[in-house]
Amino acid sequence: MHHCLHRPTLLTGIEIVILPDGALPLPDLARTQRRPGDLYCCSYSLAMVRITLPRLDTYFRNFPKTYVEREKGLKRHPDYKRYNYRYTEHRPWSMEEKLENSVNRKIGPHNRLVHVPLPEFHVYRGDMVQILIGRDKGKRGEVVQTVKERNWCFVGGKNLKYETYGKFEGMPGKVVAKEMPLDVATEVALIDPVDNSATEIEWRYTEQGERVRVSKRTGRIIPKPMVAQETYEFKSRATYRDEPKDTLKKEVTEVTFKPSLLTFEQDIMQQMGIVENGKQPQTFWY
Amino acid sequence: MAVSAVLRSFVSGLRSGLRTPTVIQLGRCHGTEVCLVAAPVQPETSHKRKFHSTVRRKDLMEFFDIKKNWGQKEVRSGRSWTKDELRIKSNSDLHKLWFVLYKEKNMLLTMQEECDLVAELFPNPERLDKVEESMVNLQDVIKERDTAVKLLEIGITGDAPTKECYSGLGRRYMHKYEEHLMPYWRNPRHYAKRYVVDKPRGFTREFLLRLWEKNRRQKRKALGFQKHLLHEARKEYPGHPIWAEKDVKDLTYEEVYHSKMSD
Repeated sequence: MHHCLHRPTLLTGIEIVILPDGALPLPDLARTQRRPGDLYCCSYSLAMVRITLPRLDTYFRNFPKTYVEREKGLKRHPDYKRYNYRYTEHRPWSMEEKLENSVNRKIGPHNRLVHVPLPEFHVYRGDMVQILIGRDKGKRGEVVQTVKERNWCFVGGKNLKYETYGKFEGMPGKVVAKEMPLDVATEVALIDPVDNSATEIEWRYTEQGERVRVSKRTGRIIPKPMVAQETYEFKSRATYRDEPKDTLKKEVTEVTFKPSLLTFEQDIMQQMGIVENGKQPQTFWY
Repeated sequence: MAVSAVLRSFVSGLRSGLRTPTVIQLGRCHGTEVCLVAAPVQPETSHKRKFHSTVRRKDLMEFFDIKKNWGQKEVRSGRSWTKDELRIKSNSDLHKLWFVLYKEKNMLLTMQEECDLVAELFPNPERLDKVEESMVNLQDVIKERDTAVKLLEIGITGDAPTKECYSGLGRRYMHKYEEHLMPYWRNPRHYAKRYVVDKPRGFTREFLLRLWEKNRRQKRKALGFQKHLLHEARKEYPGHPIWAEKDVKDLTYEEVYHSKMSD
């Protein structure tokens, strides 16, 4: 696995390994897919290292829903079904998510989670926010990931939790920093660009009919960051490049439908010159 | 009986040198004719296309992806076809697109199987879902069109009729009719099913009463759990704006507990 690792970089005493995109997973997890931004178990000696590459919430939003639902494993046979599903910061096809929600992990009724997602989410990836709670109270940072199902946001390099891995006799182990989630509604505030301080926001419409976030105190529009547009397919919708098997936009939007009083089969038979001369046998409905 | 008679006629047609087109009708299900057409030698004016084959390749490698994508970690693709995009396409376009999608699906399934065999990752398995989604959308659009034509011409949708039936234990269900070549009085498999159309009475009725009681208890238990969930949610998200919404604001545990309880 080492061929896919970059050299570890030292950053304020915390060792962080940055992986290239599309790094290979462990061989026993051949079925799980790895995407950039997933936590990665690089080797047994290094223990687990969290990647500080941007972890993307909206990155996979254009993925087919059937795929995501299947990876959640909620509709399987009861023997292999995963009960009490918890949304985490990891994607449903990643290894960490599968460990968190494994079939063998029993969660009692008192530990069951209730997901009450916000009716609308006002914090996007790339937003500058101020933390209102905890050790980093008053500090500012960029939102690197949001989890809508849990009302979470992760602020880059803030609200960290330090964990030591691989500590053994005579071995110091590794210290790994993890960003802990913050509640979007109560623990984080957006920053007003006018007076550069934390503010509550409100949704309003511009004269062009665009829905925007507006600071309650000064009435200034807080623009949506460009990074939030980014998905697996494109950085922004305008810069999408056609893949080899894509149909051209000109061909997709071309109207070829002509209304007629023929059913689909009759129409196709007529075009192909298929004439049905055989006598249809009598059938019975029951 | 009917099928063998048709086959016999086909064989006789073969013996006679196929001077006339022979259509073998293998069955008829929900308005879709499953038939096999043996095209005889016909005058040139009768039809233009006699035989269709794929242009680019004709071998089995069409089931596999192009060699460039083998062993790749990532194979990019666009999104699936939406219904709105398919609605503006003609029937022949949809017919062609169906086979394009079908071949793509076959290819992806083959590649998935092959990747499993050689213990490699199948790149981007969501491609399969995209193709399937497109195919489902395409079928829906065709069904929409057919239903519209049938309603206009005949006045019916053409769907299979349903009938309310009771099972042997008295439970009610909707039986969907199917089309058969054999009449029901000669169909032993149909007789083995023993459809009960009458309402249950006697011992079955007694059984049903107990079953309903059990269901009622289950429902009550589920509502109790709902109440618990609501309580937990209120504890976990005290400042959540959803509690200020009109529908949720007036909701009390008692209401949740007693709502939808018929008796």
